[in-house]
Amino acid sequence: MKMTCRHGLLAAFAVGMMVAAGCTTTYSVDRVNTAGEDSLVFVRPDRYSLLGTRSLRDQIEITYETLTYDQATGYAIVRVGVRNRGGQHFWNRRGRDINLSAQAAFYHQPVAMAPPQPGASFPSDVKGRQNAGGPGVFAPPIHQSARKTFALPRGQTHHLEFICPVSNAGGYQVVFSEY
Amino acid sequence: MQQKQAWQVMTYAVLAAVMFGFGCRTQPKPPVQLDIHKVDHNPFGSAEIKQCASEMGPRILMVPEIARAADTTRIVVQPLSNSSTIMMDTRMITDALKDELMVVSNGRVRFVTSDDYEIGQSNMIVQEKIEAARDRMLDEVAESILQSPVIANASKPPIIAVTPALNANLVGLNANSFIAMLRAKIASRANGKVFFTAPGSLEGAEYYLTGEFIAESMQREGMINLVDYIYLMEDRARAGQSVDVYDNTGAMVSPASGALTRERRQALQAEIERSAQMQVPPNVNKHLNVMLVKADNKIAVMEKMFALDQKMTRGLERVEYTLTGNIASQSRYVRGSEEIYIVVTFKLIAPDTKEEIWAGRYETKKAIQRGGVVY
Repeated sequence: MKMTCRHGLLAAFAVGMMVAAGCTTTYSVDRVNTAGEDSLVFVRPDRYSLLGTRSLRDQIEITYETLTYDQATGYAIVRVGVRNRGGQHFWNRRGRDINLSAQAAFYHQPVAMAPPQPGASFPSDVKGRQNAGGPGVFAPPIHQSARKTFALPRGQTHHLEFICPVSNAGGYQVVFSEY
Repeated sequence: MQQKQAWQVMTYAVLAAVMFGFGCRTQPKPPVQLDIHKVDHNPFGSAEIKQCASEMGPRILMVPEIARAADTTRIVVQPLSNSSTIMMDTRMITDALKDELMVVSNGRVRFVTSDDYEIGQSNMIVQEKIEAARDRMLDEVAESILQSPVIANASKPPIIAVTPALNANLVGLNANSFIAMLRAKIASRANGKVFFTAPGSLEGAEYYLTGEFIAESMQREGMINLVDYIYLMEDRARAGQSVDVYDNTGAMVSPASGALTRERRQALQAEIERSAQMQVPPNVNKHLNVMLVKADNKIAVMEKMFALDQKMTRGLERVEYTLTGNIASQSRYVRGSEEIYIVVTFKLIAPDTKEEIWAGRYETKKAIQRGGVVY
């Protein structure tokens, strides 16, 4: 009994020493390389389900995305068409209306690849995702809009417009999420 | 048996202690910080205010009249009218919009305050600056008088009598003390080049140091001819009265004496008495025209005008546009929840032409679950 007790204490002590050796006052935060990120991104779903997915990619699609500049002021204007796809799987007994929020951040430098011509949509691959290769986000934004919240009924297209009231905006990124 | 009962008592005591302990709380939980951009149960909360300001601000800057303006555009914001069912301080919306515009316009847009307290404080500061500047002005006027040819080139020191300024009733200022201060400034710098008669005495004077207050916004009453004014003072001085024409003590001046006719003197006196009743200092730009008048022929041989007081304004003279608007709402109650549709409209109006040069609209619709007791 005494031996058992002693071995148990030794084991606990050893484990404690190992844990204590790994504890430090501060820890580094993960850094991410945003090169190649799209100009339109969405966040992870609010929760995961056993059947199916709650990813926004499953629920919405982008119909157009244009970047133009106001002639009088030189302000960048981003226009995005967002459409609710409706039910995509057999378990979707009814395609639901969704509530979304979108926020645009404008940067001096481009985030994604430049569009072929001003006012045209960005080039995308067969899956509908933008061609990779942009420099990504590596500097603070010159302007960030407030989060816009909107309801998207099934099948409807919502036309978002973001204006950057600071001149010389070269790039932007719009983040979508549920609210 | 007794041991069993003892165990039961102990068990109940422990249970009671645990329950009592869970029921006690020494201090409340600290507050939880919430994101101001997050939509909440408020029909028009922080998220909606931020969205509204973020959308409307750049659109105002893109209005052609503002985008192409060469200089800074000045706007005065009127409070939004609230015709909705929501109880809220509409200044939160206009303040958020002003903050957004001030940040992103980079000086192209400025706002003129419409807050009475802020305007009052600003006017108080301006008034104190004007009063501090008056002392410097007296120095300048005194120097101008001493440098005038009639004094600088006089073969012997001229004798000057100081008389009260004309139309003091128009301006609400203490004219006599002002002229007296001017006399003191001249005397201190004269070094014997000028002599003054005793205060109130016109005897032996070659020149009268007098003045005329001028208010830019003229009142109908109280305008008196300077020459008649001087004659009135001389008549009073000869009759042994003070030269202050507002002083009603002492015997009346004999109608037969003096340069003024009886009718003219009575009319002047009546006008002076009526104008003396006006006690409220008018809010206008005020100037003082200081004059050196020759006593024998009443010719002003030297005069200099300077600004005494400034009209206190609300700062609207440079405003180019007015920003105003309205909040409206429509509600529907469905199975314990309220569907509310809110519209905030803004208008930019040019005051000169009354044109609405820009109109903006922010709208939102929410379904809010209502719970609890309905009163």
